[in-house]
Amino acid sequence: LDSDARQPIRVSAGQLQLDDRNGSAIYSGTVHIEQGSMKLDADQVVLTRSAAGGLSTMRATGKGKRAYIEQKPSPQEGLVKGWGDTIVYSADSRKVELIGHAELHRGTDTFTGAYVQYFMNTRQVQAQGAGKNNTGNGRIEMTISPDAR
Amino acid sequence: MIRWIRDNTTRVVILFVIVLVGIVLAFVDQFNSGTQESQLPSVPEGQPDYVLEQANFVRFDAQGKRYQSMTSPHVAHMPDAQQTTATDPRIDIVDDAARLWNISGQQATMTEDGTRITLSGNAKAVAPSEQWRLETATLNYDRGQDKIWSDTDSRFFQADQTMRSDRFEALLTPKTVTLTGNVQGVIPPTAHQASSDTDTADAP
Repeated sequence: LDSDARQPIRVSAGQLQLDDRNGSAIYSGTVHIEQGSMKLDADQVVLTRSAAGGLSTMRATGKGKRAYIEQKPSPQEGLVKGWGDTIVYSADSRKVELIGHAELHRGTDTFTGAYVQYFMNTRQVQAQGAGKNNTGNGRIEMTISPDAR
Repeated sequence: MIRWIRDNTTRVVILFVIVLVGIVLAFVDQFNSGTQESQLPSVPEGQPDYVLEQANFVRFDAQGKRYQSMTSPHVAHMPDAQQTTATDPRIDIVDDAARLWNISGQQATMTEDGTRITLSGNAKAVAPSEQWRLETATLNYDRGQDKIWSDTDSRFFQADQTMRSDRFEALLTPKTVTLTGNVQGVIPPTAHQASSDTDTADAP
């Protein structure tokens, strides 16, 4: 929901390491993060905070299995789900980047590729095939289902 | 005179022996009293040999640099355990980078040189320069390891963030804080994030 950004972030993990030099907090060991309707599951999440102290970015990585994120765009819409070897969420732009074995399900539409980018505010999706050093076979696959009407 | 001595040999010998014994006894008596005076009264088991009320003391290293200070209403030194105990201690620690750390609790037990401290009962650690505070039941500090840690339920506060964990460890230099075991916490939105109005899509 668009009100997600105004909700507190609830975190649970096996360990938290704070590095005051760069203001980052490294959560590891079955990390689960919730902010309103947004949920994130990964093996490690590096959370950086802005100068004002609020959330700036979350960088989630999976070990053995991909990191996972879901969010409900609005009360009327279904969950948007995303997977990637790495997921980067930028709080200010409310942008989600799925990097490596990227997959996004938005309603009945599906996007896969080396890199998928999703904007929560505008529901826009941008996908890329394999770049020079990206994994993936260079192809983007999209399945856009016709409207039910 | 010589004839008198020859006639009273027995009496002279007895007199000589008495004087000799007297000298020896006097010498022994002095030796005993001397040793008794140098021996402190022995302290009964488990009793302090000294107690300080409203104590305030500072420790300096070999270079004369202040590295630890403590205030406490009651400090007792336990000679047989080679430990010092303190009630309601407020302890300031200065690390190698001249940063200040405060630790406190209801009761402290420390080594005689203060390099190892255990605080129990409502123990707290505060890092002013990093703006964090830890609350737990038992807290440890070891100067040699340059570390503050707890193996009891820990509640960690930094800015508006609140976390809890089973264990806590802070390395003073280089500064890293690690919370381990069932870490749970909440990070509230900033005032700006909390007031930002972006709910166009939420409207029914």
